Amino acid sequence: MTIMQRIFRNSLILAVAVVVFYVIDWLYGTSLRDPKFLDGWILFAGILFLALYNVRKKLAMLPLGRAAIWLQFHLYVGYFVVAVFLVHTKFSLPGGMLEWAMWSMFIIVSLSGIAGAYLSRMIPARLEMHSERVIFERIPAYRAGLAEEVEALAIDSVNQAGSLTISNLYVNTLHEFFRRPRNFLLHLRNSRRALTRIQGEIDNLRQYLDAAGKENLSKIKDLVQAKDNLDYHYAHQGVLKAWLFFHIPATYGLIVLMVAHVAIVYAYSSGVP
Amino acid sequence: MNQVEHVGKPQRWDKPFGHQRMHADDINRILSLPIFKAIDKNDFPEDLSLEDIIANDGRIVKYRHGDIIVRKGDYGNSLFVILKGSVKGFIDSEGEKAVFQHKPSRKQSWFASFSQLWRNSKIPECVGEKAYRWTGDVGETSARLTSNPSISISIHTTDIEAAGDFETAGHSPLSPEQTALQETWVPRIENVDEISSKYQTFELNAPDMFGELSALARSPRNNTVFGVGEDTVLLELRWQGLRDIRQWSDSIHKAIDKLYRERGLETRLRESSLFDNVDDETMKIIVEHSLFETYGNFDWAHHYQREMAKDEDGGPVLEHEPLISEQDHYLDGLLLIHSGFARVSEKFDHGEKTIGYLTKDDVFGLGEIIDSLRNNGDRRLQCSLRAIGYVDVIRIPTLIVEEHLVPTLPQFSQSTASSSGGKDNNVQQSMLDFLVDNRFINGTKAMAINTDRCVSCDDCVRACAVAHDGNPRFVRHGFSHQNLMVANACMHCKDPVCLIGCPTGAIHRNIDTGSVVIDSVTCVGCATCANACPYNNIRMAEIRGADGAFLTDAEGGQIYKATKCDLCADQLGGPACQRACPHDALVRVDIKNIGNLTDWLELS
Repeated sequence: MTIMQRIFRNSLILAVAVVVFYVIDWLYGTSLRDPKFLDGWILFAGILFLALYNVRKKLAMLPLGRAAIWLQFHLYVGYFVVAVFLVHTKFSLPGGMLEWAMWSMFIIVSLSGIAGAYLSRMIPARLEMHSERVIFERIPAYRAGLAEEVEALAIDSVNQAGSLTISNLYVNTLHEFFRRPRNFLLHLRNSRRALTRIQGEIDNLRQYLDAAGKENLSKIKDLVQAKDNLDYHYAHQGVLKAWLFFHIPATYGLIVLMVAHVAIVYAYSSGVP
Repeated sequence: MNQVEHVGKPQRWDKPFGHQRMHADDINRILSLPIFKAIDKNDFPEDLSLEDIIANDGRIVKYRHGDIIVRKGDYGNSLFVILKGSVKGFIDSEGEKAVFQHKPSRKQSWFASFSQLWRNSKIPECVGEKAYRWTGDVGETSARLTSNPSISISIHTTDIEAAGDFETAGHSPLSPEQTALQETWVPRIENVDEISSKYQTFELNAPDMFGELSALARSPRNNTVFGVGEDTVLLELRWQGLRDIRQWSDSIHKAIDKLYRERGLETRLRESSLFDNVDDETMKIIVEHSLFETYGNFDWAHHYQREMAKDEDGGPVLEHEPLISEQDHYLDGLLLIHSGFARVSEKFDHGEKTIGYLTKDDVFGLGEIIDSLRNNGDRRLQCSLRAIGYVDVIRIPTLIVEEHLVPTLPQFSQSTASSSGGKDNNVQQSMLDFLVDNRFINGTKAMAINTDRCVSCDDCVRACAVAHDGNPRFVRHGFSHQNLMVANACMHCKDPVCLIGCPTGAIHRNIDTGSVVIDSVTCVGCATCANACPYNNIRMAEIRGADGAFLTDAEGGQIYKATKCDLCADQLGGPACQRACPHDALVRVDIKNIGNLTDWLELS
């Protein structure tokens, strides 16, 4: 089964599930009961099920099924839960403080989840097209290595040729460029503007250099390209990791608020759902 | 964490193959056997005497009636010499099936798996100094011995004093504690006489030897062999010792190689489906005229590493591969690949283009032979064949094939078999080149990562760490081509060159699964396997004690152990890395199925 076939099948099942849920919720309401209890508990159970995915990841040593299958359930149950949430809140904004907090948490969790799903599909393909895949944790070490190389070339150009052209370029531009990750947002936009600007500056200096200087300049240009590639990977892989820092803590917060919400609802209810 | 503990640095023969070093009287009796008699002891260096090899790499084992000594398909590492009694082996596979028995599973329980959550050490590579201290203490020794599944299977015979003429005189009897620890599961045929009469068997008697084929070629056993009578006594010589004896003694080198080739031809031809319809008489003729040939270097991994380390412009990889048969040359025989890998290529412009590769059981030249018979064409090869690393081939002369083999082939009437060998037209040329040039075709469980789907979440690495006491056993990085990355994880090779040279047999084939695993307790940290692995998939880890201190020997030298992927051998559910990947971006794959691999890579 291809990815597209799988998406089609799962989307179809999701659509049917949402319709079935809506009909049942409506029928429940027509029997003079408060459907908020039904859809509220479905929402509660759905969110707990979604949180189980993280538990599955922690229990990697147990044969609980492939994480890839769990992720598919996580995604589509997640979409289902969004539909239940909209029904539960009657497509309206919340009232009190607690409801606002819960609503906000749910929105953060949902949006970060949807964004994460999108980024997880989009970014690997981008990285695939942009030089060799680099391990995120090794990027600082690679960057430091490149910075050392370019500094050595700048010093070498002064010592060997007595020229300050390259060393000035290093002091004014390259030192800052190699010091830390740069152009984070530009890389996420797939823009090459920053790179072409530096490379243009480098190319412009060629006319003032002798053969040795030109050779050093070519090496520096390659190092700039390599550093730019590292920045590209750093930006994209960083985003791939960062979205989870919104998604997971907000989920825990949401669960705590949900428990409080249920307790309060039952404390003030008539006892008849 | 900063304190250093001193322990004894492990040495090759700290732990002999037997439960203790063989007694001098037994060694003398063994050396008087015909196979060893011709050896000149002076051929051996002073620090590696024949006596020492026999004493430490050999052991005397007694088998009871029906005890299975080797099982067909097991990855054996030993040669056996019959000292007393006789053994039988099955000729046909029906007998094998009748007695096939499974070894009990060694998987962890659910609770044991779950408890890894809190049992796993917080200290990296922590094994505890106890496992590495060699004191000769009985209990400790036994614990070390039994920690290696492959060894524990082999040391089942505690009944050494009953070995008759090979009684280990002067040795104290085994203590009850040791006996208990050495009690292991031994496959045994219950109804030997009935089975022997029902199925075709061969018999070997003292002082015959067997098992040399598997021990030398690192290949699975060809037959199941079992003891006959109540006092079958064997000398089991592990392959590390066999390798040394072969290296230093010309006479035994020739004797073993002769047996190796003769038995290799006979058993190997019978295994191939190509000869399914060949009767015994015809088979004898074919065997008589067949040649066993070896191409390439047995130690190909080092050669390959040197070539790969050279400049990228050093020329096409296949120029370094020994030529077995050349395109357009006379077709002088059908080639059956016995073991190893061979590249099939054809001339293309000014170079050669890889069109496929052959591995065990594949044949080369059959298509041309059939075509020439049909069309009375000239007998010229359409492609070339080169050894990738090291390859054993059986060459059957063209005339013999035409006269005796081709008429028995059922597909002869409609076949237009080609010698391209597994060429899959759907596989991109560059992908084929990538996999063959980098020798990834050796992998049976290579870790393939689809970089088009991988989000670098490292769930695979974390899962691996959880399954291995907090220490991941692979690096999520490796050679890439298009959207395929072959990560630095043990590929559990068909031809595991890492096994060559291990002085203790710590790295070995798992008897049940064929995967390559390391017994960390018997590993002496010599790094031979890590240096031999052409793919850098074995890492030497500096080990620590329970308190986090690095373990060192008395001279202050760091103690290492070899570590690598074991396919989560003791875990429930198989490789944790594959199960943990949420994006279906990682699979453990047999590279032989290139078509499946490329199909999987396309599914995105």
